[in-house]
Amino acid sequence: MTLEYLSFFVGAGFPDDSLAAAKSLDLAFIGADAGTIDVGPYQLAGSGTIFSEALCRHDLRRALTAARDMRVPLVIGSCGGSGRNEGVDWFAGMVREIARESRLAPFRVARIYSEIDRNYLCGKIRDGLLHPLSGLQLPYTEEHVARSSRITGVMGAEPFIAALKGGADVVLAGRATDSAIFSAIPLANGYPESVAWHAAKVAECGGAIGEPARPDLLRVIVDHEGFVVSPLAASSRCTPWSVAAHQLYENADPIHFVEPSGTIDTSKVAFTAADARSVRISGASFTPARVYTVKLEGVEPAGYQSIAMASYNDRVLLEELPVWLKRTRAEIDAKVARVFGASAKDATLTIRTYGAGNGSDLFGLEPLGIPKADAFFLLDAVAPTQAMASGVATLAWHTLIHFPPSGWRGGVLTAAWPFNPPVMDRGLMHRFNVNHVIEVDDPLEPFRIDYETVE
Amino acid sequence: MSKTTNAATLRLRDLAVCIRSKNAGPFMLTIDLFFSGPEDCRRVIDAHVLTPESIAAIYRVDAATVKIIYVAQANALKVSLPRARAAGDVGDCDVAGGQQFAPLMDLAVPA
Repeated sequence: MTLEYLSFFVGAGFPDDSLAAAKSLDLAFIGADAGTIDVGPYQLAGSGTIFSEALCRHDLRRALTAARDMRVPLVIGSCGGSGRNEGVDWFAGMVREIARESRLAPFRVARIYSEIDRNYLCGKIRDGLLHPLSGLQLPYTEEHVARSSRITGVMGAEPFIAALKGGADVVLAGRATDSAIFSAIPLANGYPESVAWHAAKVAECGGAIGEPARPDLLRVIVDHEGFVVSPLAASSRCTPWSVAAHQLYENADPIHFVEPSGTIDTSKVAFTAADARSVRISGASFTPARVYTVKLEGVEPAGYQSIAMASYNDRVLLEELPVWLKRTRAEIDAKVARVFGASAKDATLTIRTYGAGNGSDLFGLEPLGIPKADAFFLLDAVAPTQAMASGVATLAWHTLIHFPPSGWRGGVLTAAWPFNPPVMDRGLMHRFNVNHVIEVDDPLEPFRIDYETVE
Repeated sequence: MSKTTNAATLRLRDLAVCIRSKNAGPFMLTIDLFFSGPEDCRRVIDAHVLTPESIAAIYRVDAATVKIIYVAQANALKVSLPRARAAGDVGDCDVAGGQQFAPLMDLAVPA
């Protein structure tokens, strides 16, 4: 006995020949991930998305039409990109419109919302049911909850299973673990947790596990001992290496994948070629968690941001760049203090230098070097108001474009810059402020499921 | 295929077929080093070039927070460590962590 499904990423899409090939398959469902936290905090805070409406609508239309034609569920997690309830509503709106335009109705939709109630979360903190995760350690208190712009929980498989048992033909979920989307139906059909979860973990990136890695419909066939994966596009294939290598991608530990309900252990997994384009995977184990936990993702305002840029290819200046920048920075800081007085400390000015060897140096390991060709400066001021951020950025930029190197006599030096106006306001920026899980009594507890019939 | 036939000291970038980095969530960074076969992977492990202590010294983090994982099925080594600041926070220069493998590229691996 086997169970077969397809996986893709909403917005990244899949080729026409894959969609054509899908039609002859005997599927249990079509699943898709639609979100990621990797693009940064803004998407959860604001209304931004990773992919445009045009891309998402295009993929939804093709997947919904295929799923309704085959009469199989369409299961989508992290709708709208980040776990905002608005993102689920946005996807639901597109599904209704597509159904009407393409005459796909009637069918039943479940919307699963993942934003976390603040009083509920404060109760968890008071009860000692909040626990930190590994990585950068951050304090998280009721105060952080209060000042957060948005907080979402990351759901496991149970809300999906509940929605499907509730009669949903289409499940549109808020923030979910990528693998929960694909493990729900195999688990509900009695497949072993080890196989259901490991298959889901491998499936979550769709065609990205193929060679060449490209957006596609990934075919997954699950049995009781293991599973087989292959991309539907004829121009791509899965190899034991491509699948094994992809397990490392964006995972801190590819041997132990932690899910809300337990941990997948891949230390004894074997990847073998099933044929020229398919790989069979078996040998994972699954250890149920002692306590069911839900990971939190949240953001809070970090201040208003303004940016400016400038570049130099004056070799007299470049040859003394480290010293010149130090003196320029001191001049800028003195001016900011003079103009903004006591509130100057509320602003943060960052001057990034590109071309001098450390523009991408997150850990601050490399000293500023002598640029070989030219230097590019990206200034960024963050302050409690947009006016102050803009004021600090303008002051810093104006100082930087005119500050003379000691190797030239006179003071008329002017950098090059590409845009006018030179200072750009970027609005309110946000920061991630939680790296924790909460213990829950019931996996459905933090989430809400609403049903509707699309007529 | 293996590059271990070269008895000279090689840089990690010469031995690996790919070195890459990315966030594992907004608070962790993970670096993958892929090799063409188990011999090259073993050579790096045996040279003790990538240890929690060496990574801690290079990235100036606490060794207790560094994980080194050998993934035999992919002839790969993985290094995971906390980010210096959260992805997208004030002062960040690499939101997705894509360029943070650079400090490891030129590490010398003795034969």
